[in-house]
Amino acid sequence: MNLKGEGVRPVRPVGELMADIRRRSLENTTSTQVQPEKKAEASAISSPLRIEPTISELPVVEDRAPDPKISEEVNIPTLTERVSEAEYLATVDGRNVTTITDPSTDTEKVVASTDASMSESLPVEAEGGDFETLLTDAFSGKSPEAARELSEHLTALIEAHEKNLDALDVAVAGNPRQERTLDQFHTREMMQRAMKNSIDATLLALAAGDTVDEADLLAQQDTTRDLKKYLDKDAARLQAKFADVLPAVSTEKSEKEVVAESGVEKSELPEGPEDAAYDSLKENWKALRTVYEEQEHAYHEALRTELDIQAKSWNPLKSIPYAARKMFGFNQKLSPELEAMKADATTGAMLYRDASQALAEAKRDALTKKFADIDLGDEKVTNILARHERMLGRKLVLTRAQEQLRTMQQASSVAEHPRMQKAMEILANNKYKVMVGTVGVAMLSGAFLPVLAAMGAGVAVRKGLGGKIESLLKQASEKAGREAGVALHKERAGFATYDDTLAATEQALEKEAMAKKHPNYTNAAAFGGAVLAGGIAGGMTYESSAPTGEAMAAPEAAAPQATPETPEPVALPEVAVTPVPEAADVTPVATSEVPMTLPSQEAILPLQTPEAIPTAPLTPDMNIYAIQPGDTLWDLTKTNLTTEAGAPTDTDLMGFRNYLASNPAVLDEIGVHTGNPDIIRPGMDSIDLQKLESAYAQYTESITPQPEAAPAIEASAPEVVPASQTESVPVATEVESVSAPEAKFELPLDSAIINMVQDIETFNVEKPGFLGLFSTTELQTTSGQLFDTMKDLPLSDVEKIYTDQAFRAQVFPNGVSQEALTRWVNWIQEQNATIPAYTNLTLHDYVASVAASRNQ
Amino acid sequence: MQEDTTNQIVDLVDDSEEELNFAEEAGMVILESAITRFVLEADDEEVQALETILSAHAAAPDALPKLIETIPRFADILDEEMKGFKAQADEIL
Repeated sequence: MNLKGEGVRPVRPVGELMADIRRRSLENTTSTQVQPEKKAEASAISSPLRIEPTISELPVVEDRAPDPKISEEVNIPTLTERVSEAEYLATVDGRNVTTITDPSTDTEKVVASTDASMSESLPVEAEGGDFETLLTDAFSGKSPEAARELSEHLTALIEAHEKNLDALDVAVAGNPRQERTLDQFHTREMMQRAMKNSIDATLLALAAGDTVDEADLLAQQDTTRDLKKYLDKDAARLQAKFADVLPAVSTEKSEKEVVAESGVEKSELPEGPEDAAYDSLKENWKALRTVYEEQEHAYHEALRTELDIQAKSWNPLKSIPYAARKMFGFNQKLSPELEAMKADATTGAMLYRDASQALAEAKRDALTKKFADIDLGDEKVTNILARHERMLGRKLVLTRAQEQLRTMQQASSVAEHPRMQKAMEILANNKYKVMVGTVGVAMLSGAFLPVLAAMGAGVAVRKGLGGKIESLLKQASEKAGREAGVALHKERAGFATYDDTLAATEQALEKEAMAKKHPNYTNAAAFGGAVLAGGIAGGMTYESSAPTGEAMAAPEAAAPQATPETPEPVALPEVAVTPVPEAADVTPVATSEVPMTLPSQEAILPLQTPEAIPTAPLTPDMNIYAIQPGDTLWDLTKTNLTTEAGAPTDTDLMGFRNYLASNPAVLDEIGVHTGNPDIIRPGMDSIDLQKLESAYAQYTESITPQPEAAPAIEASAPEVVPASQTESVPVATEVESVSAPEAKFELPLDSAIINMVQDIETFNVEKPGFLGLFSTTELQTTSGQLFDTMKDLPLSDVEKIYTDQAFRAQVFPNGVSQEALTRWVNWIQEQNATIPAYTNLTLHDYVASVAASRNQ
Repeated sequence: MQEDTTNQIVDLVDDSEEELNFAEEAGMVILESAITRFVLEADDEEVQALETILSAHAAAPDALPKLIETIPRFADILDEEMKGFKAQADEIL
């Protein structure tokens, strides 16, 4: 692997990838999906995105034959020992089934079955560390058994997902609105299966003991991790969809949960006439919603029909632009009939919006009665309702715009035209980027409008955005980082339903009231279940609906799951990775001088302040710690251990973590997962703190011979530098001042840094967002092609780019901006953000560490 | 009770995450619409340019300036879709 491309694994063009996905979908004739009749009709509309679901409607075949192409290429025996569905289901936690109290109707039976099978993912999720371990083992190239097991596991997950979708298809049959939303699940399922097929090719080779290119292994490992993430997300979304299918059941459940989890006695929440009025209004509201959505859909169906008729007399190629304008243009002249339908739909939207408003107010009244002795604050309630109304209006706008977009893309008059198919291919390629978790694309739509406005370029929305652009961009960036590229995944899964908006408003109001009445009442405790059961699909979280954080209740009774959703304010880690002072002839660079434009410091915050860690409930035996969901060894150690010098520092903790990682016997003794010291071994409900202390003492002894390293590192605690100041620091210039790094770092560095250096090669592996860091010109090679293999560069080449001007010129024949290099540094930091030691890693540190590690 | 519903675009720039969510969804549907329309109307060279720029930039905020700078027709279509979205928002709200 070098800069000339020799040995570099070629990057597959996205188009080729999509073609491969389609090919695999076409070859896969054994899907177990059973689509309802209605769905088959819908998929008859020819467009690239809608052709593929029809493939999965082919006859059911019990035992899926192996992909013949894959078998030929890798000469791998068929997986015959795949976990059967029955075996897999045997592990299912069927607790959700019990929530269906009256499975007397077919629909409820189907949904109950769906819910049960959806919960299949629960054990996997709970044992996420197991999956990670299996993943690591499988792609290590040393464990054919693990590769086979992972393949079987993925197969079981995919099949369970299909089964859920099938059940939901049946459950929503006859409900056009629900059927349309399920189309999106099917589209994603197709993509997920394509990903799985691709992964399987590698896993099967590994299972057969074949040698696979290391870069391929790492890329497929990432893809597998992404696939697992998507399947988990979809499982959650299916759960929400299930709640939508049976709203009455789920609503009752959520209210009960609210009461039960809040610790409030049932008698404190008596139902009065206000509740009856609310329930009555809600029925009307649902009816209006249905009417509106059917009107909107009928209007667009009629529009398609009219355009199809008109298209017969057109020259197809010349007509396309006109058709597109006519279909999507907002001011187009329609036939009187269509205009009437459009007006009806608009009227329906207004009625629905008004009903929603009335419903929200009824809810407010009911709550006010319930908590008559509490002053909710008129302003706050008003703000909540105003937000509710605004959100509803926006959802209406989006609904229509999305319908129009679909009308344009699916109209038979143009859908089969090569140009439309090309457009769909380009969009699909972008969607695929989103699907695989490109971090940058998560910012796509969030930053879209303000970016356009900032650029001007004839865009009409510039006026009025003003100084808020930066704020919104920052939010988008933080969100992208926080959700690690998954943010847009949910967006593409479909927009949030109106139920979500209403549910969010209800919850906001309830939260206000409950927080006033019960100081210990928390968001997560009260509404965690409600959010799930109430159908907060589309990624709309309760947090996103809360107007302010003022009313957040005291955290004394915080449920464990609240912790990740309510990050504490940003706190910089104590570890600062800097060169030791003895390197006097090296221009020292403070860690904080490198721009810290990480997408979300909250998200990457490796360490919680002691205040942020939930109070650890101890059993009567104070040496036994009762494991809480989400507990990590890091937390336990930081919370419960005290050394002679006080609580362990972050440096200590990192060292301890690394010590454990290299001492599985100690890990086993403590009870931590032997493959990953960050997690607690599944099934453990407590940890003996004495053993933990003993292990920590062993670690302390092991590092005793190197006492001078710690002060050198800790002495350089980073300072927070204003963004304006950091922006002015040219990163590359600082690095260039390191003339001979090999001779300048003589003292041993912290083991965490050494480990970082060893691990850092992972950032050279397939990172989809990489090309976005540089401009097209910068990446243009002397031969005129885009240089797209930088992500595959070995560690030594990356270092040379920064330290060797001639080498840099070879990589960037057209020059490279400081900004691009800075973005690269930031990108490295972002990619490594989940690992504490990488936080605050600067380019200078990086180069210095490389030199130091070589000296060692 | 409703605040500033006459200017949806300005209104969406707010500090809340809800606003951001809406901006994302609106931005996405507008962008998809613009790309679809552009590919239908543009010539082969322009479409090729669009693909090249999109493939070279994983993040839209990086790609969009390039698209607008180098493909005037795309900028025009995007502008139309933006105006159309706003007009529709005004119509509904």
